[in-house]
Amino acid sequence: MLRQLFKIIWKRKKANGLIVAEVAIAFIVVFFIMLLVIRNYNLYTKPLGFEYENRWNILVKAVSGSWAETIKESELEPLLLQLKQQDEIENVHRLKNPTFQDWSSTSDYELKGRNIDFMLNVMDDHAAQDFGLELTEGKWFGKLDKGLGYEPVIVNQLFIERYFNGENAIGQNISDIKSENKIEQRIVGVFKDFRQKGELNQLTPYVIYQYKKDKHAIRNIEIKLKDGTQRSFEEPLMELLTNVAPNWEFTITPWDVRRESMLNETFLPLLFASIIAAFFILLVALGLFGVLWQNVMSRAPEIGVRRALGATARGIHNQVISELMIVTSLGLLIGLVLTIQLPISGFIPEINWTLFWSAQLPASLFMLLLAVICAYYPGKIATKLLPAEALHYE
Amino acid sequence: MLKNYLLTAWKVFLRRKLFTFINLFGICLTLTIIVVATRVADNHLHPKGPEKNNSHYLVVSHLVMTNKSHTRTQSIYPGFKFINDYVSPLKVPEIISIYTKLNKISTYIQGKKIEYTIRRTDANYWRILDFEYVDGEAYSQEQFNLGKAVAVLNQTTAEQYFGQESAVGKTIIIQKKKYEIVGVVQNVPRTEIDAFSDIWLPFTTLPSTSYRQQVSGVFSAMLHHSNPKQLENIQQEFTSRLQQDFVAIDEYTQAFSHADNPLQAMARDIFGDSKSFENYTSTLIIAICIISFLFMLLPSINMVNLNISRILERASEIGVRKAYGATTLQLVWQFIVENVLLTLIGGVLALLFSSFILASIEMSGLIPYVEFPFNLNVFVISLLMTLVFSLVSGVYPAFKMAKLDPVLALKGGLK
Repeated sequence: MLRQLFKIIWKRKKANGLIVAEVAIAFIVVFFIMLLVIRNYNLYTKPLGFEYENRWNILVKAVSGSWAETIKESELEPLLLQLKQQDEIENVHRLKNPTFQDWSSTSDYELKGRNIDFMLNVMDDHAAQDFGLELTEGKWFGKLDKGLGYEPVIVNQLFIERYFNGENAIGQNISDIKSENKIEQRIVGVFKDFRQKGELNQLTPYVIYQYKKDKHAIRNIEIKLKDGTQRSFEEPLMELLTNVAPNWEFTITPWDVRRESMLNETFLPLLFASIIAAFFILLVALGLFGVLWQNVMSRAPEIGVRRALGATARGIHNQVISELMIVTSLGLLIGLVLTIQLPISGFIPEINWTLFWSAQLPASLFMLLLAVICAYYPGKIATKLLPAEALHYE
Repeated sequence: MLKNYLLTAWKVFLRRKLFTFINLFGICLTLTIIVVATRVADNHLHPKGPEKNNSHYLVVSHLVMTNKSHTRTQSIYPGFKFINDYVSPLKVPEIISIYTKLNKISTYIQGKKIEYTIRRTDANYWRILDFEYVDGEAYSQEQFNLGKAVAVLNQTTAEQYFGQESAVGKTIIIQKKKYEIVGVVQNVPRTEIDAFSDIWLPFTTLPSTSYRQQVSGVFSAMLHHSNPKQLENIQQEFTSRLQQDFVAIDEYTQAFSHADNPLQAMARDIFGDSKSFENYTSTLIIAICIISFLFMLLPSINMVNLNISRILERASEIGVRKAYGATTLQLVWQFIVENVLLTLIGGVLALLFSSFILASIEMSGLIPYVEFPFNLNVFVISLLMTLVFSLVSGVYPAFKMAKLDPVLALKGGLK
């Protein structure tokens, strides 16, 4: 039976070849949309590792615009003290790279014979607790770590899993031996995660250093507000800030506002691409439907002969559908050969085998389903052809 | 003859409405997307606002510095010192303007948060860019030199502050400092990145002059020449100045920066190696051609497929025509005319749809003050794209149809 079908398809290889090409391209479109959707969904459902409600970011800039200048730490101090005295504000912290923004630092170097790379940040004491990070091992850094000849750091679980094979890493030194600064960087604690750039960014190893007055210049003030503080607090807050430091510029943004726009930045283009893809798929479906309809009409004699020789209506219907399924499968095979290059070559490191197959399978199923839907009605027409009428052509 | 072809084509379209619809749907979809993309690109390359004379100037907006072995690289925005030392002394440009990038500031008018952007410029800025003044005029060179606290507002901001009254002569407080408004200009579309702002101030009003010492900062420069052909010489002069005269800053011994027109800037942004003086425009154009070809591939194959499967429908017609002596070439020509006609209809619909889509983007306020005007440029490119599409999708089926064996065709069969 299958051999027979292949023979028929081979007979009409030119016309079928075009359908195969069309299916292959359509499949690649569906595959990429699936890939993006599944990637983002997977990331979105993983815990963020911190809380974003009731937390605001204040970015401080010198009026001439460049942030990398003229603000001295000693000048920032009185501002922080003023902020702490406000009734609405529970706590004030310094954070080097703010959350939910494309603003991050990375580092890579050799540690004990293996290359490590990670995202890093600098916070002052208690900031981690106030941002809602979750400690799984060890302790947070604090005043007790000062002046002991080492620099305390906390790392996320992924860092331990990836670079210490999940073993106990408390007390380990992770400093870069090749750099001039040879101070020991000792891991004092492990936290679950701190996905600084938001839900839709890849999981990465993360290291947080302790803020030091003479070493770090930080322009981001993060405030934790008391529950129930309204957004309208922004105005008096800005008034306060400009009064204390008239020569600086401030931008106040609640974390959740940033999160929203960060999500939209990924979501809107994806939505846009999906709409265009949906139209294309609709076009392909209509096209397949039309081609098949024409084919059935032009093959009336062949169908007539089959009916005359005793094929049932169901048999004819199945033949039409199976033929398109086979042609579609050939298209999928070509699509698979092309798309499988992605995980093999590792061209985009994020596309690993799990992600690849989890996008491949639904995309293939979708295309097969589409083929069945497109073939259903033309197949039905084929069964309606009466043997006598069909044979009449010859 | 052509009239006959068109008439036949029309009859064929009406005969099988479903197939005509499927074809038209594909054509419309593809062309709508292409026309939207063309109009957005045209808006970017040929702005209608103050940047309309962008063929007369180049912009320096990025700076990359590396050490000798290229192991350390700093990618920054130029500071005033860099521009003053390496751009201002150039001899070919007729006018050079220095201005800052945008700075967002929020203020509260009667408890409502209003965000506006500020740009600080020199006086030359107003000579190069072609602003439309609603009221008053820009600040003069003298006011700039003296560091007078003066401001130019766009229409929307002026209305927010002063309603229907004339804003010129009134004062506005920006970061605790009073500025006198000297001019109001028409709103500038957000897409014109070097002209856009809500408020413009002279940068001599900055509270400190420390910016004069900074190599890295937030400044850009615009280099103008009345003869567009001289722009290439400006680029060469700037490149050789950086290659020969750059004085090392700390360990950074080499500097890379470019005076680019919009197309070059876009190409560099996407393909450019930051540590080179190369031009990437041709790479960009090739990439655009490949992408639009791939993009048209799916609907084309779809249409080819459909048309080939319909050959049989026309078999008797083709047979008769051939029997009466029509050549293959004549038939090919006829089928291509048919396809072009259908594509043109699709093209007209696509123009309507794209206008609708772009109008809704304009209305949504997603991109402030943006407008996508329709012009001859866009029309010609759209028409060209339409023809390319109809040829890509029409030529193969036309040949296939025209080559039918007349005997077989008359019999009404095809094996």
